[in-house]
Amino acid sequence: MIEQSLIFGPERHLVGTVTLPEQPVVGQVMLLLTNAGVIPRVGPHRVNVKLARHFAQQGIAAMRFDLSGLGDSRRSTSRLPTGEQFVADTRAAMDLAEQRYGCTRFFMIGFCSGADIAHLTALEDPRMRALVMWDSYVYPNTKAKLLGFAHRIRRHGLAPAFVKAARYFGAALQNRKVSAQTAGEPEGPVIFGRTRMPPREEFGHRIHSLVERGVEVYFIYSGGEPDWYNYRGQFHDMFREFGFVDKVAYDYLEQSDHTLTQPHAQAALIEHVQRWFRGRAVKVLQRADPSAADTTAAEPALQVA
Amino acid sequence: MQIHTRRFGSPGRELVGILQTPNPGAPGRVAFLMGRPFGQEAIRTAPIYRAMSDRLSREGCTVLTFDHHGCGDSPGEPDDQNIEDWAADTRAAQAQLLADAPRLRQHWFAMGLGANIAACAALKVESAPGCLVLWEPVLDGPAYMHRLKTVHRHELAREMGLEWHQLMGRGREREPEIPGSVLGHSVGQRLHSELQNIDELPLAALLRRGIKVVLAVPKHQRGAFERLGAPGLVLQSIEDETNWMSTEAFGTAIVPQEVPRTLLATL
Repeated sequence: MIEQSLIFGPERHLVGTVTLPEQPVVGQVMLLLTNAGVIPRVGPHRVNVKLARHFAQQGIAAMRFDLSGLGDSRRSTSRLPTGEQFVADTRAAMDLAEQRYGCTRFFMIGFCSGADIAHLTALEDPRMRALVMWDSYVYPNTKAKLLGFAHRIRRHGLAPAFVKAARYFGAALQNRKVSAQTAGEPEGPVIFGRTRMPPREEFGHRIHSLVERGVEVYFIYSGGEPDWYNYRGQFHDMFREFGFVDKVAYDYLEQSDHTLTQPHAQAALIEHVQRWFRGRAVKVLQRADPSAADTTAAEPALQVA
Repeated sequence: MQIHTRRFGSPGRELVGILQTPNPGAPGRVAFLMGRPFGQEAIRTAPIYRAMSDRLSREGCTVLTFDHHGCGDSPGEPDDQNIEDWAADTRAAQAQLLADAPRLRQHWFAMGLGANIAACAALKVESAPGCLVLWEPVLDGPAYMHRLKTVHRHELAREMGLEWHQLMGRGREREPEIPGSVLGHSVGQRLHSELQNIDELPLAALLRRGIKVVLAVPKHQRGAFERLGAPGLVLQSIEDETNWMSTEAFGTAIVPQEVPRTLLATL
C-alpha cells in the first residue's frame, strides 16, 4: 500500500491523499472520501483513513480529499454557491484520478454532508457509479414521530417530554409563519446537524433518477437521531412511493452514533460497506455502461477478499 | 500564497504536512511549525490551523502544519504512539521546515497535548525555536484523562439521545478505559504511562535554552504561572474557553480571536 499527498484543482487549492494498492484488482476503480461537515478529510474519528486503507488492501485505490475551505484545502476564488463548489471540487478529484491513475469509475462513501455532495456529484457526473450515504436526509413520518416521542418519554419522563414536544411544535408553527411571510423554506428540526434539507419529493426524484441511470446507492442510518429516525423500515416508509426503495440498499445501524465514535461502530460500518461493495457495487463498477444489464460488456470478475 | 504537500520522517515513521508559502517575492519573516493536539481536539481545531496558516503566510511567513505519526493524515496506527516518539516527529518536522525555509528563524505553535509534545521536542532539538507558543497545554495528565472519559460519556449520551446511565443500563455502552479507546481515539499503554506523569511543563528548562515561551492558559490557571515571574515567559489568558473535545465545538469553523492576535504579536 502506497500513500501519496497531492495538491490539485484548477486553482491548485485542494489537498488530497491517494492510497494505492500494491496490486490493483480493478485499475479503473477508485473510492472517494471527503469531509463530513467541517471534519477534515481523515473523516470522523479517522474513519476515512481506515476505509481507504481497508479498500487498498482489497486492491481498490482510494482518495480522501478536502473540499474548498475545509481541512487543508484553501478557499476557491470562484463565486459558485458552496454546494456547487463542492461538487466541482469532487469532479476535480475525479479528473485528477483519471489523468494520473487512469481511474474512470468511482464510488463514494459520504458521511452526513459528504453524502449530500456524493449524490449531487453523481447527478452531474456519470463517472460516479455507486454511493454510500451515511446519515443522509431524514423526513420523519408519523410512526417515526410517535416512536421519537416515546423515546423522549423514556429519556426524560412524561412531563418534560410533553414540555419539549410543546416547545418543538410552537417553534415549528413560528417557523411556518416566518417562512410564509418570507416565502422561504420552513426550518425543520435539526436532524443529523441539518436544519434545512431539500423537499422530500425533490430528494426522492433525485435518487430515483440516479437509480434509473444505474447508480448503485446504499443508505445507512445511524442510531444518532432516535427522536427522528428510529425503526428499521423507516427508509422504506419514507420513500416507498418513489419506486426506488427495492432497487437500493439500506440499513439502520442502531448501535452506532452519528460520528462513529466507538470502534464497534466503525467495524460495523466497514463490514456493511464491504458486503454491499462485494454484493452490489462491484457489478456496476465493472460494467462499461452502468445502465446496461449485468451481462453486457463486463470486465473479468472482480475478486475481492 | 501557495500550498505544497510534504511527506517526511524516516521510512518506518513517515509524516504528512502541508507547507504554505507566502507569495513569491514577498520578504520572508518567520517560519512557523504548527503541531496539532491529540485525537478529537486535532479534528475540532483543524479550522484554526488552516486559518492561522493563511493569516501567517499573508504576513510573509512560511508555515508547516503536520500530523504526528499515527494521527490525522499521517501513516501509522495510533495504538502504539507516545509523547516521546511524537516529539521526535516534531524534530523531523523542524528539519523539513528548515530545508524549506533555511534562512528564516523558526517559531512553533501547538495546542493541547501537542503543546506538551512541542515543549518536549524543543528541549532536544539542536537549533531551538526562537519562540514557542503553547496553547492550553496539558498541565495535569490524570485530570486530562479524566476529562477525556467524561467528555466521552457526554458525547455518546448526546449522540445516542440517552443519558449515560441509560446507555449503560441497556448494555449499549461500557465505561471508557485508558489504555483503550476513548472519544474514538486509541490511547495505548505507553501514552497512558506518560500522561499519568504529566504534572507540569518544563518551562524553566525551555527558558534556560533561550526560548521565548508564550503560554496561553485559562484565566483561572494564570496565577500559578504569574508567581514564577520568569523573564522570557509571556502569559496569555484565554477568555472564552472552548471544549475542543466536544462536537458542540464544531459545525462552525471557530477561530478564537486571541489565537491570531497572539501569533502575530510574536512576529
